[in-house]
Amino acid sequence: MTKLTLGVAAGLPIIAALLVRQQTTLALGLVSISLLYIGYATRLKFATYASCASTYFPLSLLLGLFIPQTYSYLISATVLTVIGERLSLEYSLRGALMASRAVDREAYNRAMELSRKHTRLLGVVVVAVTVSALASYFISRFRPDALIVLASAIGLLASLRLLVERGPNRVSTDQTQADQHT
Amino acid sequence: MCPYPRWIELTPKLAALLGLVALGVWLSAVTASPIGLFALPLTMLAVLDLVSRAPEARLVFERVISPRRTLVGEEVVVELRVKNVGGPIPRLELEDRPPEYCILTKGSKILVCTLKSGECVTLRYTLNCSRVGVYVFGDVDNRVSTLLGLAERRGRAAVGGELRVYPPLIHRRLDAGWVRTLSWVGLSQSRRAGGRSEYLEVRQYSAGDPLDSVNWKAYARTSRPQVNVWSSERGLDCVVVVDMYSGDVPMLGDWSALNQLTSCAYELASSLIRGGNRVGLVILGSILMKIPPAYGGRQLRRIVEALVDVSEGSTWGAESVEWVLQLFFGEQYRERRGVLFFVAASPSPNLMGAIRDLSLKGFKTNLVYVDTLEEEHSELVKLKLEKRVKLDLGLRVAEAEKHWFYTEASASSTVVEWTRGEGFRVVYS
Repeated sequence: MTKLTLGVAAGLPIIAALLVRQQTTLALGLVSISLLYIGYATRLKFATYASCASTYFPLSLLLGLFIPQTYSYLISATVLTVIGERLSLEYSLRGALMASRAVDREAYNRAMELSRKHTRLLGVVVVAVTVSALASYFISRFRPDALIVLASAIGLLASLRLLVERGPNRVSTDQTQADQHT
Repeated sequence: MCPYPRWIELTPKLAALLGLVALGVWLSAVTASPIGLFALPLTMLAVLDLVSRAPEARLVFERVISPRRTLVGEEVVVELRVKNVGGPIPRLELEDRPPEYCILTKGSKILVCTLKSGECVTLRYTLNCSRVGVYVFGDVDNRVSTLLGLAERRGRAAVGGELRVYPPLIHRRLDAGWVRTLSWVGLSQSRRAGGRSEYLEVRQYSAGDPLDSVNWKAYARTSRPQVNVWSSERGLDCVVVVDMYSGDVPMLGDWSALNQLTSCAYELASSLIRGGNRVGLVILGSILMKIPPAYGGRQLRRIVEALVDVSEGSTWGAESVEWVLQLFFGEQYRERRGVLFFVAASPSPNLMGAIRDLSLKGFKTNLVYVDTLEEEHSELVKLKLEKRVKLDLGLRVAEAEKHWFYTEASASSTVVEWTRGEGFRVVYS
């Protein structure tokens, strides 16, 4: 699974650099590939995210050759967010997935279960972005800047969500329980 | 009531994500273009991850080590069972911390999973311990987070467990024969009444001789009943002194001479006990371990446990041997009874001084030198710390130092060399 995601992540900047034929996209593509390799070799999540961020502009220009620019930005952002998030999870799961399954089959199965849940959530993200895009398409009939307004509104909502009191989030172990009693 | 402020739960990932969202909104507002639309999927991620129920978990840990006692080089299976007795956990990351010098051979020390309420999960891996000793398992790190890991709580639980690693016990090498070749006679009577140690001669049968002593072949040859004569067995009082002073135990990376030292001490004690001697033990290292002389297999087990319990350290050195003997082995010290065996793995001046002093005071002293030079050399070659030529030269210098040590020690004691695979060899008697 990691190899497939990595292949896609590496292929996108190369294709963008070849088709767009700009010095900027070529440079960003090279930076992206280098960061992706560093992320893979060291399992460094930050490098992986940075690689995806570097691919954003070249990929947007590439898609802009075929579809309207606004939607090329949106699609490339969604694809790269999903790829970055997926790769970071796969790096977290590497211990369980790469270990011999004969020794710990259960850990492998559990990791795959988490992977499936994560994939489903990313699917929901893609659906949510698509719904937003479609909604903005209809609203933009009346106001051209609707998509930007929508993005700002969602950002504001997210910030508000963080300010709201969150429920209890605690890890209780035998030790902490003993501490509480004392 | 949560003892920590809420913001501690939020990960740097979320901070970075919100920073990017702000950047996107600002870029689009300033440039009046849709370039900042990369913020939209990120905001979706944040909202979807944080809108789900916050992780609430109560975990119960249990560790199983199988077997709890093992030999150097054998595999040990470690299982860490985690039961969630709280609410569902979207994402749980566990990381176990095996003790130092334990090498992971199969499986993984990390477990990442989702865990519903009441569910149990087991982390399994196998270890290989390269050194003799007592290994204590300690903390387990756990992180309970949301599915995308934007909020999490870290914890550490103490899940104890002990593993005892013994020296490789190769029974076929435990031959007591070499002790007799040194021709010592002990002063204490063996507890095995009528014991037989060495065959002396054949004599004519007289009334009262046990029938199992009759030499039937000689009887048939001479037509008169003959019996075998054996020398009566007398045991030695032996005190084995193991030098585990940290400066005297060669160590290199993961390799240590401790394994050979304990194996040698075990084989020596075993062969002496099998020879019908009373054997005591003094270990000088991180702690002072002393076992008074006694006979039998139970004493051998005590000695092995003590060898496993003590690790190298700089608290007790060879200079304190006489004090230890005087204080704890009074009977042997006052009467200068028995034999002292010094087991060491490096030519230490302190050890040399102790052997000389005790020899001058009337003790029979013996140096059992554990030769690990070849293994040390091969480890150095493996680590590539120096060029091969320099390492070969170093080996030759070390060999010369060892022979000088043998010569010096031979003035006041018998020198026996022990090597892995070849056992004991008398160098100077």
